[in-house]
Amino acid sequence: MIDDSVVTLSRLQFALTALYHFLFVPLTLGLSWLLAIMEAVYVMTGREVWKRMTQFWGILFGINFAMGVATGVTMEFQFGTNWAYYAHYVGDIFGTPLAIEGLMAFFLEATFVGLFFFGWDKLSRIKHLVVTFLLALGTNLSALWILIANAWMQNPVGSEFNFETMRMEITDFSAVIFNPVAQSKFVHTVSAGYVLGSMFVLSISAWYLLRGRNIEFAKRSMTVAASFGLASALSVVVLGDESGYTVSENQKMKLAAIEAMWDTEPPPASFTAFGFPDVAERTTHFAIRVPWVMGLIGTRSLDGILPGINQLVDEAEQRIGDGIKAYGAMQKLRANRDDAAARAEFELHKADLGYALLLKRVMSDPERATTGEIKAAAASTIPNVPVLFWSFRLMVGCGIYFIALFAYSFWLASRRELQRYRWYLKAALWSLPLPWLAIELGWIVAEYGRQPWAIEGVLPTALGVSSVTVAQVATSLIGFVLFYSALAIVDAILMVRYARRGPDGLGMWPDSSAESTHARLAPAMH
Amino acid sequence: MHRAAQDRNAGMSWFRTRGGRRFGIEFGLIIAIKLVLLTVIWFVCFRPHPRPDTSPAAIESHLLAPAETPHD
Repeated sequence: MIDDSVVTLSRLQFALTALYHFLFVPLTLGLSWLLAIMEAVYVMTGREVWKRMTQFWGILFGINFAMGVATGVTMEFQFGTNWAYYAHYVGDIFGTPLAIEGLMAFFLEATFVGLFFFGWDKLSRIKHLVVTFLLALGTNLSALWILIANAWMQNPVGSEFNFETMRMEITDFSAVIFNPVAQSKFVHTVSAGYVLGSMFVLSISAWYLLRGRNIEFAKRSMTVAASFGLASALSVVVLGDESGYTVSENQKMKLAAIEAMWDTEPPPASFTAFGFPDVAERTTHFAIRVPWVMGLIGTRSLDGILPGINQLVDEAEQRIGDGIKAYGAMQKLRANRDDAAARAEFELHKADLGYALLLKRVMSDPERATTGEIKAAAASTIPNVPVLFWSFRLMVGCGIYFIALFAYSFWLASRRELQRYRWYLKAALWSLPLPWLAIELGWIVAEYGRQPWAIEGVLPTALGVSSVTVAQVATSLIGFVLFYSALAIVDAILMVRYARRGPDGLGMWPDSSAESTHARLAPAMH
Repeated sequence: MHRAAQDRNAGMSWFRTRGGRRFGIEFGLIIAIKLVLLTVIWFVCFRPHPRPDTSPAAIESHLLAPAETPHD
């Protein structure tokens, strides 16, 4: 029998480390391209201010990179310690993109980070620009491989279960790489990182303008951030729609939970803009529904059906029944590999084997499950509806706000009025935490919405945990919390210190009092 | 920083200035300290624990039902 406390603590530990790691990654993704844009302008115009902008934002990029690097390694620790059965069961598939990501991250990305910081006086302008572009490319490519691995957990294509080795094995690696979920997740995730990078530059620059410091420097930075941010914020919405569409194809329960759609509606289904999902009664109180919208978004048709939670639970019950047949056949095959009848039975029902494994959480032999236990296991396929419902809506709300803020910033920048409204500058400053919030909420929707599965429809999360004790997991959890808390404090101190000092305080660019004089004396530098 | 120093530094990478060198040292130190801390966590939190048993027999017993006994 599986110890629920070990499962819960292992999940908590993985979630904490992933959420913490994901504070740094998107900023690296976004800032790297902003650096490339700023440096490209420097190379094209030869104006010193663009070089100094690249170097100043490069410092903050460097702090973020230094604090974030290796925080993801602890998740790989956990695959071996807390998730040993998961690692065994799917290691053949999951391990490959992770290994490629390691090569990308540690060889490509790390090499170019060094060249970016210490190659300014050693490389020509063009060569240094190429380095910065390769840094951005390497950063984004490492995200691609992680998301290929993650997408396989959401949509396990190109693989099948081998009863002889008792694990999943790759049958088509190209299907794993070109998994449609991976493609949509990748572009959606990196776009969200670009929004964060843009907001980071916009907010800190707004603070300089509020303080009347580094004015020309800040205005240029805000112009770049507004343009890149607007394009990215629009992309996030469009690509998020594509990501949602792939969910409607292969994770119907997740989509139904996000929408708190308890029963199948006649197509096209309505979108619940607001409401209070009630899990016990399986209903949504005070629901405000917008007709047709969900059906059009989810199926891109007028007649596509989106199944409700209750119907999906009924379907899960059926699949558990078929999975039990596959499980029984597998037991017979393990005893006698030449049992043709068992092999035929296994081949017929093996797609539902994972559903039988849902019963392993409460019993050692799924073949002995009662009707009540099967119904309970089917009901366990419902993720936490209120959390998903609200996380998704808050994320979307943030996304709409980002479009509005960047569009207004772009408009002000085009009219050279970025400094005109203090309320706008304050809004830009205080918006800084929002992209992080939206990104973490997106992660919660994607990963918490996958529960109870570690691998959708294949391996229940509870079955992936190692044979470890609560004390062992708790010890490492405490270690991680202490380690990450210390890192977070150091990161915040360093970021605030360097941002407050600014280009003027760091001696990178004339301070505000000297700026106008300097502009007159050295026009070529502007 | 004084204007004279700023003019002198114009065109030169900021990373070669005193502040830049300090940043480089901090950058390297952060990574080094992190690697040390991660190593400490590994030795304190993980290494003392026995390795989870992932032998084929253990996986089989984890995933499959226990063999039936004559009493079943």
